[in-house]
Amino acid sequence: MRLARLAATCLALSAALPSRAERPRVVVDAPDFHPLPVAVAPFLAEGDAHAAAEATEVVRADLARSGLFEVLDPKGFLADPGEGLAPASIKFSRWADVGAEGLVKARVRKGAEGFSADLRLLEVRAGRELLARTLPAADARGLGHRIADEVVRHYTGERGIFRTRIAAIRKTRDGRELVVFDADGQNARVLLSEKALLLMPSWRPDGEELLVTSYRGGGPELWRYRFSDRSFRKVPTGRGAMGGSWSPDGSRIAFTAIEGNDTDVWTCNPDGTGQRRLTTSPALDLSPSWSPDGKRLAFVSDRAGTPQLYVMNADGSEQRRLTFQGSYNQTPQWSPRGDLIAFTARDERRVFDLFAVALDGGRVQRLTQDQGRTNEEPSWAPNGRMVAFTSDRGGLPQLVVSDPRGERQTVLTSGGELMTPAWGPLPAE
Amino acid sequence: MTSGGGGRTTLTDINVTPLVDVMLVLLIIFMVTAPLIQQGVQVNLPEVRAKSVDADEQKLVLSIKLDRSLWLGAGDDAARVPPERLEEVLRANSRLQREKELFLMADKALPYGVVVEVMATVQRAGITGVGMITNPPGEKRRRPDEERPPK
Repeated sequence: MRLARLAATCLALSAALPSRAERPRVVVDAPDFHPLPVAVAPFLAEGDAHAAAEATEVVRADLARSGLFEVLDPKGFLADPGEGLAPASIKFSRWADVGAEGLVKARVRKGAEGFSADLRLLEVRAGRELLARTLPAADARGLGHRIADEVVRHYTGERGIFRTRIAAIRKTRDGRELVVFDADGQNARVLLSEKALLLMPSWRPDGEELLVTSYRGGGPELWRYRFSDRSFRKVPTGRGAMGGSWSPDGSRIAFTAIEGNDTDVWTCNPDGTGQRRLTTSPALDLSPSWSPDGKRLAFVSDRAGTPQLYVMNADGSEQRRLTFQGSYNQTPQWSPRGDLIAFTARDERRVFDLFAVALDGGRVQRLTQDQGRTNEEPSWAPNGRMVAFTSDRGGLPQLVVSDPRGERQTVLTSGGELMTPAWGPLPAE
Repeated sequence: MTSGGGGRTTLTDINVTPLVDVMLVLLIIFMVTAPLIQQGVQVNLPEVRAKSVDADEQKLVLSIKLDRSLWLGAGDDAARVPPERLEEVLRANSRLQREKELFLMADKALPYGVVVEVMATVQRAGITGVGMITNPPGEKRRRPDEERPPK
């Protein structure tokens, strides 16, 4: 009680501090949340006009895709394209006239070793500078992602995810590929090209390895792909295993063990030792996903007749059912924020769509509807503010990202057939 | 909907669809005196009595000068817009598309046709309300270089 009052006093005090109170913030969790209108002025170039233009486009696309911002259409801009970065040289009323609240400006410089940008973030109404940074990057795209990350961090107080990667499996004519994309779907790199089935990549939390289900040995087994030496090694579990998932601290792997017609959730060390069986029901128990603190697991079980989501402690105790709506719920993914579990559900029309269930209260929200016949296999961005999945809305299944409400969805890729995306961790700072 | 009994149906609802269509096509025009608008763009406004607007109701101002040049914004920072780009610029303007209304300030000596052409462009850009700005009679805006009239 006393502690609560103390906390309330501290909150009131911090709210009264002018520096905090004046700072415009995007409060993403607020019920009346609306995207903040920002203008990204064409970046000024020192030496490489093409790079400046490319970085500008990357920032606009990143901020728009996040769902946090309304990125204003540059065709409506009234400001002089050569307008400088210093607040005194900026005609703020021209930016207010197009509806901008935030203004992103930068000067892009090409140096001997890559690029750098002088970034300025400005508040239009007050006519003042909010942020000034000099950021380096190897190329124009990287520079754009860095700038977008800084803008997100300023407004939300959380790290942006624009420099992360998304791994996925791509179907080829005679096999499968393990592919990794930048978080905007660009820059696809093939890590493995296999004749045998490949499925369900999962990132080691440090981003150095991917755990993949491979049929190289004839049946489903867990394999580890390492980026540094491109090695691909089996995790010797001694049993049929699929859908491996690294625990948040990297010390354990949860997976689905297959024995005859039964599947159960197991965990083991990353080298295959220390195996532990967590579920024992004769029903199917599968698709484990770790809670962000590593203490619990979400999984799918049909022990009640239809596939439903369940949660349990990491030692298998306290198994309880989480979803009671729908008759076909699968592929749970626990948000890194801990509040939601995203999953795929088949509805009464036999259409697969994306949903999320709140851990607290069990309320289910729908992210996709009438956007193709299949939207499935979600994977959360490391900040839990976006989710990647595959959708056949444009033909063959492609990568799509969305905010957790499904309000802003962007198809990232085209061509090929993609499945089981896995969003990678934040890069080291 | 059918009414019960006797198999007779009565048409009681007015079909509002054509009415709505007409409403959507119409450009809503109103006159305002806006003494608070900073006049950076040199425009001689007609002097007509009209409803005056508060500063917080103020919309984005589009001005047509006597030389027929188009300007967006008020005060010294108004930006000149080439006529061929006007529709695109208005359509891409987030504030306008949210408010759906702008203030038009046209020099009183301009031909009617010039003003109407601009208004048609405004409407094509998806803006549904135009406030025609006038000066209140007898309160002629005085420029600093203007001499005081004799008493």
